Amino acid sequence: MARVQLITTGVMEERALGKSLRRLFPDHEFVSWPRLDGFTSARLPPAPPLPSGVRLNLDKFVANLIGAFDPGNRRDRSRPDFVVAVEDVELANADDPARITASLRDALQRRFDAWPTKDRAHDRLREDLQRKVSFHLMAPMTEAYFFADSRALARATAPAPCRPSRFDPETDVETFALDDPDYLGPPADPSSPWCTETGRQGHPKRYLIYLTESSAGGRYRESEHGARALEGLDWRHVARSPDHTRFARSLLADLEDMLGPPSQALPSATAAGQTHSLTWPPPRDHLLRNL
Amino acid sequence: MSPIAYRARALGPLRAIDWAIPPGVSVVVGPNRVGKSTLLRLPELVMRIITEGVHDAFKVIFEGVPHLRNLGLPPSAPMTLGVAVDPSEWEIELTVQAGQIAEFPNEHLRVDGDAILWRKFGSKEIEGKDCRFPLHNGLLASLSDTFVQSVYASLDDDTPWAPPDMSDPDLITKLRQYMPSDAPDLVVYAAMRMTMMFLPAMSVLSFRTYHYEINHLLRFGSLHSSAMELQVTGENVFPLLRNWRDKPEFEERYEFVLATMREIFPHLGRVGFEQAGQTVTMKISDRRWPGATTIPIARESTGFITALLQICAVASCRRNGLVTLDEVETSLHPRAIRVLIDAFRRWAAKHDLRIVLATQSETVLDQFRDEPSQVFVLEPTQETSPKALTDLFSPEYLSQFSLGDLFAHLEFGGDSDEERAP
Repeated sequence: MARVQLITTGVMEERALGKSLRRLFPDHEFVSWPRLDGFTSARLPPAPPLPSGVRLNLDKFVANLIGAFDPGNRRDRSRPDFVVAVEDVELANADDPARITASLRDALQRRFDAWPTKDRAHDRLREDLQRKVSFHLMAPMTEAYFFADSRALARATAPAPCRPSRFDPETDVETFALDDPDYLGPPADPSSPWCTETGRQGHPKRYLIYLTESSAGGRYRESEHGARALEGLDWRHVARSPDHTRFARSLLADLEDMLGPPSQALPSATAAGQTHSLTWPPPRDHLLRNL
Repeated sequence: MSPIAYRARALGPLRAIDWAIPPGVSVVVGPNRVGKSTLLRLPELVMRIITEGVHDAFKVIFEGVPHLRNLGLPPSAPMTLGVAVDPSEWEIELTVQAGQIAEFPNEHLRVDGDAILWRKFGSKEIEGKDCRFPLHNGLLASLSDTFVQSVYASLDDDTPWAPPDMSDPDLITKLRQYMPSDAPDLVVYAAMRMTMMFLPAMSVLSFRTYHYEINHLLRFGSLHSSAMELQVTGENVFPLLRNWRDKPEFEERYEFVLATMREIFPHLGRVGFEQAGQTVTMKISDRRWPGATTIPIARESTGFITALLQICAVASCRRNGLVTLDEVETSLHPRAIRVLIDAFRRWAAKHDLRIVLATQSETVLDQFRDEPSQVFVLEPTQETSPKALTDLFSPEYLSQFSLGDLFAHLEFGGDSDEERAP
């Protein structure tokens, strides 16, 4: 049995991603660390001017990846066998997610070069990162995958949606292109939490709030409804179309490479060429397992 | 939920306040001595002024008025206090004479920015356009206070609150019953406006962690009581919890407290109460202990009892109410803080509450990274305070940093450079 440590940036993923993946790989343990601050909500790479002395979330994120296997890390606890970090693509970089992976890679390289280990310890740490640590993206964010699994969507909108979903389930949830004029058009109540001036298109979380909005406001809460939906998410549905959900397939392919075949058959999920090239398979000069 | 804003000028450490409290959980940050604790008392002060009158309100909240004026402002700047619920706004000018607030202060009721009713300082009459009416005791608020309390008492705590329909003739007839029979229509209209404005200001609970009497509570327990609301000292917490448990209409509060405590302390087992004479205490078990072993609450940690009090404080509030918690982070582990704030959010959404936390904690602030507009910053040089964090920075900028880090590095919520200079 392998122990996989998850690094997440959202309360929903912190609470439920491990349980969700455990259903696919029941012989292995998935443990979440307290979530970190996300770094993809603004355009990457970070643009100056930036305040001096305040560490970017991106830098803190990579420090956690490296620190997981640092030899100076506390010795009274067993090390995880693997670390899998997961972050949302979000909207700011959705047109070019390579900005995210490139920024992470740059930050990782910079931080690793300055990491206070020497010689053999430094080499061992590099090997650990290359063999045991992965970084994956959820596109545009984890909530999108609920729209690929009707039961997960029902749990996210429980007890019942107040409005029908007009997301076309035959399209790729990772693109999350909506054609719902009531949601995208001028709203009746501009103070609704989903009702931002920009950023409604392609935003499954806001769409869930819209779908569950009664007179008392949007009911969807990621820590509650989202966590329940993610915990029970059927990854077979997420991965059913060979040309869709390539970021999710990358995660699944990586996990299969780490842990062996999943307990549930994932048709076409991990076939070569159908993952997202940014996150699987690994490039030749990889710093992490897949980056 | 009606958006409600509290306003003040030259009051204590506060220079100029215009504070619209959003629904849900929000947080106030700022350097020491900037007035966070005073800010958090404003809603209770306004509520007490409406229900108890200005003298008693200031006595309870600020132990009187001496030394209450902001000395950093020129003496000509009036000391004022007000509340606004769109489109109405009530403002009172606080003049201190002989160690107390002068009777018959200058005050205004405005609707859509136009004064519709006012009193000039010292006058025993109130005025409106083409109208004068004697008001020998109390503020303008006294025209509607009894009616407000009667409507408030009749509100159902189980269903979302909706403001009464101002054009409802029955309501106007009822309001007239609470007013002098010769009150002109304009005064009745003004009283109805004040009713709409004061109703959302009626349910306010203010807690300060440093006022919790934890030592006393642990050593001596609570006095038996039928209370359904936590005292500011927390001293009635044990009978309170037992009352919630035993009354079906309050059981949800008990379940919320216990579920949140178990989320913070996963090994917490059963909870029971013991009464000896008039004293009620609590005993708890731990799932790691053998058999049915329990210990008295007196043996529990400070963090445990503090968390219990904070959750009971929030659970005490009626639907559509406001709870303020000063120094929410005291004695709590970062994980406990995270669980607590998340539980507060769920409870606030379910019960239409506003919960305001005042803090100096980076961990507390970090819980607002997805809701930076719920962070309010008090700084000594602001023209009007507090400012929403998103008025100071763009959300995109903020998303690159931990809010706690930005706060710790004085990017916001610190003294200005001039203030720091010797």
